[in-house]
Amino acid sequence: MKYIKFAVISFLLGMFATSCDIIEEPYTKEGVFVWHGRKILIYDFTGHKCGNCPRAHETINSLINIYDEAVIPIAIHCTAFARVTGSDSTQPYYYDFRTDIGDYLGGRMTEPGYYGELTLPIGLVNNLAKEKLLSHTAWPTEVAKFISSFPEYLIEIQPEYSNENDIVKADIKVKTSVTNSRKIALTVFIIEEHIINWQTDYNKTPKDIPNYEHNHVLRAGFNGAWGEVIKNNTNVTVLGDEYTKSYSITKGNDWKIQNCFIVAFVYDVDTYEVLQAEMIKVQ
Amino acid sequence: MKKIFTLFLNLAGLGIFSLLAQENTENNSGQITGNFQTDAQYYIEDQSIGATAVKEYMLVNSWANFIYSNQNFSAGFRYEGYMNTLLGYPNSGGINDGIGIPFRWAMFSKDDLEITVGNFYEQFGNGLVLRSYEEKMLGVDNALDGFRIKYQLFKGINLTGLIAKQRYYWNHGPGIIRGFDGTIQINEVFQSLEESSLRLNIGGSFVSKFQHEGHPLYNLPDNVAAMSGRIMIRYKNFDINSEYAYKFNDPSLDNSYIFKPGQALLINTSYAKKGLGIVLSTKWVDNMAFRSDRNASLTDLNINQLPEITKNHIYVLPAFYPYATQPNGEWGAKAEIMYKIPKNTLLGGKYGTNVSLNYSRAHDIKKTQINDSTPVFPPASGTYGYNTKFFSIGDKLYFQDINFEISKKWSKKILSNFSYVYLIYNYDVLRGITGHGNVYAHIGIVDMTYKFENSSALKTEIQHMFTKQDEGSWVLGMIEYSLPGWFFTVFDNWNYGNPESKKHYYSIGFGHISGGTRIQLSYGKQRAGVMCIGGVCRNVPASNGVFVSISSTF
Repeated sequence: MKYIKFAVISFLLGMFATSCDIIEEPYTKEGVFVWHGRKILIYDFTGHKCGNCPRAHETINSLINIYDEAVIPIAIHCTAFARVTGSDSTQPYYYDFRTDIGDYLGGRMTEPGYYGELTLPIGLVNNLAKEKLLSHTAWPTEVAKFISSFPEYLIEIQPEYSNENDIVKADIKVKTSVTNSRKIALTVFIIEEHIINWQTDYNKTPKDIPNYEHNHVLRAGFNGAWGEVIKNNTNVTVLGDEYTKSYSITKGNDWKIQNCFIVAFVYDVDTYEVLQAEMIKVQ
Repeated sequence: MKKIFTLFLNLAGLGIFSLLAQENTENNSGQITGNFQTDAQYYIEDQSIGATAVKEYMLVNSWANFIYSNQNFSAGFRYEGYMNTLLGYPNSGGINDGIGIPFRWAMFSKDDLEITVGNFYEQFGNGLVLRSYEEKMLGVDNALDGFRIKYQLFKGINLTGLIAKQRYYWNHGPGIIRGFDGTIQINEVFQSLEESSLRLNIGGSFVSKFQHEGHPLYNLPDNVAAMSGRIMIRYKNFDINSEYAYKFNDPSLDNSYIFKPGQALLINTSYAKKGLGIVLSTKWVDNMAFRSDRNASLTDLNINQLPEITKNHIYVLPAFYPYATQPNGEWGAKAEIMYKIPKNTLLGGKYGTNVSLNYSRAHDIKKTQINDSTPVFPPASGTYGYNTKFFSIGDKLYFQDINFEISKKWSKKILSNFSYVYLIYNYDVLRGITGHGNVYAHIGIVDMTYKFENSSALKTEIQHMFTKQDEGSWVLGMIEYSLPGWFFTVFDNWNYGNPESKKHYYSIGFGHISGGTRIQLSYGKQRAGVMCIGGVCRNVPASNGVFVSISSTF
C-alpha cells in the first residue's frame, strides 16, 4: 500500500507540476503582418502626361495586392503634367482630370501649389505634412510603418445619391477608439475608378497609351482640401465619443456615379498624421 | 522529457488500477440503476412570431444513463441521440446531431483512494478554474474524458488529480487538461479543533491546459495555467466562502488574443438563524474565460465556470432578461434578506409570512490603455490588451435586479406568493449586439394556490411586465390544475405592449407522473429569447408546435 500511496502522490503532484508558458513581448511572430483595421491614405500626385507616373500606379497596385482594403489611394492630377490639349475629344490628352483641390495642393501648370514645386511622381503616405513628400519607391516602407498600428478612430460613411438632382450626400460618423487629446480634422473627397483615357508611359512603346485605366482619381472635395476641424486639442476624446457630419455636393457631368467612391479621413491638425481613413462606394 | 513524463503517468495510472482491481476478489452480482429522458417537438411554421418548421417535422433529444454498481466498483454509460437536435440547442452545422455513447466510465474505490477512468465531471472549489458539468437545458456538456484520482492523504486532507480531454459534441476538444486540487479541513486535521464552533477549510487548485500553438501571427503559449486559493470560515451563524483565481496569459478568441493574465475574486457571506437569512456576495472578474480550445466560443469547451450571483428567476416574465456572465470583465454584488414574520402576529398570521428582498447589480470593470496608441475596445489583438486595477468598478451598468417577494399561507387550503421585480438590463452587452440600449422592466406577480379536499389543487399565476423598451409590455395568465398523478396547464403570454404586433403566446398541456416516470404533452407557442442557467446562456428560438417529454428512472 505504501507503493500505491507513493504512486498516487507522484501522479497528483505530476499534474501540479505540469505548468504553463509565459510569453514575453514581442507577442507577434517575426516577419508577419498583423492588421488591426487602420487604413492607410496615400496621396499620389500624378498627371496623365507624366511618363513615370505609371510606376507609382504600379506601386499602388502592388500595395493593394498586399494590403487590399487597408490602402486607400487618391490620385491627384496636378502640375503641368495634368495639362490638357484642348476640348476636342478625338485628340489625345483632351480629358481634364484636374480639380480645384488638386490645383491648390499640387499646383496648376507652372504655378506651384501648397506643396511647392512637385517632381512627379511623388506622394504622401498617411501624413499630409510638406516634409513628408516621398518618392513612390519609399511608399511600401512607409505603409509598413503604419499598417500594424491601431486605428485611433473608426469612420462610418453613409452615402446617398439622388438621380433626380445629381446630389451626392455623405453622412460621416467618426468614433473614438483610443483616448486622446488631439486636434483633429475630417476631410471628405469623392474619387472615381476605371476612367479609361490617355496616359503617357515611358516604359511603353509607343509611350502614349490611349486606353489607360486611371484609378482612384480625385473628383472633388465635400469640405475643401483640409476638411473641417471636428475636435480641438483642449478636449480629451474618450473611447466611444462620436462626431457626426453631413456633406453634399453635385455630381460632375462626366462622372460615372457607379464607379465613384466617397473617401473620408481624419488627421491630426498639429502633426498632419492621418489617423484613419475609410472608403465606400456611392452606389 | 515530455514523453518520459507521459509514460510515467500512464504506467502509474494503469498500474495502480490493476493492483486495486486484483484486490477486488469478492463476487457480487451488484445492481443496475439508470434513467431515461426524451424531449420531442413537432414544429409548425408561424410567421406571426417568426417560428419556423423543420424538414424533419419533429426533432428529438434523448438520453439514457445506465450505472452498474458492485461494492467498491461502479461503471456506466450514457446513450444519447439527437435526431435531430431541438432548435436552439448548440448545433452549429449539425455538429450535435447523431446517436452514440459519448459518456462512459468506470470507477473503483478502495480505502482512501478513488480512481475514475473514462468520462467524469469535476469541480474545483467554486469552479473559477475548473468546472466540468452537464446541463441538458442549455445543451452544455463539457465532460472530461481521461483519468482522475482522488485520495485522502490524511483525515481532513483530500487531493484530486486529473488528466483528460474535454467532450466536444461527439468528439474531443483539441486541448489536454491537467488539474490538481487539495482541500484541508482544519477541524478534522487537528483533533483539538474537532468540536470548535469555528470551522475552517482551505483549498487550492491548479489547472493547466495544453494546446499546440500553431498560430500564423502570434507567439501563443502551448500551456496555459490557472490557479486558485479558497477559504471557508464558519462561525456559529456566520459563513464566509471566498476564492481568488489567477490565470496566466491565455490569448484566445474570447479576449481577442490579448496576453494579459486574468483574475477573479468571489466572496459569499451569509448569516442564518431561525426565521432570518442574510446573504451578501460580490465577485470581480477580469479576462477569465478559460477553454480547452482557444478558438472555441459560445458554450463550447469551457474549463471553468464563473458563478453568477444574480437571482435565477423561476417565473416566466422576469426570466425574459437573465444575466449572462461576462468573463472579459465584470463586477457584481448581491444582497439578500429572507425573513419569516412569526406566526400568530399581525403580519405573520396563523402560519407566518415569508418575505425576501433581493438586490443585485453588475458593472463593467475599469480598463485603461496600455499606451497612447493602443485601444482598449475592441481589445488590441497581439498586445497585452489593457491595464486594470484589481477590483476596479467601471461606470457602465450591465444589470440590476431589485425584487421583493412575500409568500403567505392563508389557511390550509390557500397559499400565495406575491412578487415585484425591477430589472435594468443592458441589452447590448448581455446579448452581444449594438444599438438596442437598456431595458427597464417593472414586473408584478401574483401566484395563488387553492388546495381541494381530494388532494387536488388549483394554481393560478398572473404576471405583468411593464416596459417601454424591447418588445414592450407583457401580461401572462396561467392556470394549473393538479391531482395525484396528473396535472393540466393552460397559459397565455400576451405581448400587448408591442408597437408592431400584439402577439399571443399561449400553451395548453397536461402531464402524468407515476412512480419514477413523468410524461408531459403540450401544445403552444414560445417567444424567441435567451435562457440562462448559472450565467451561461443559449438562444431560444420562437416556436410553435407540440412538445412531448418523457422521463423515467429505475
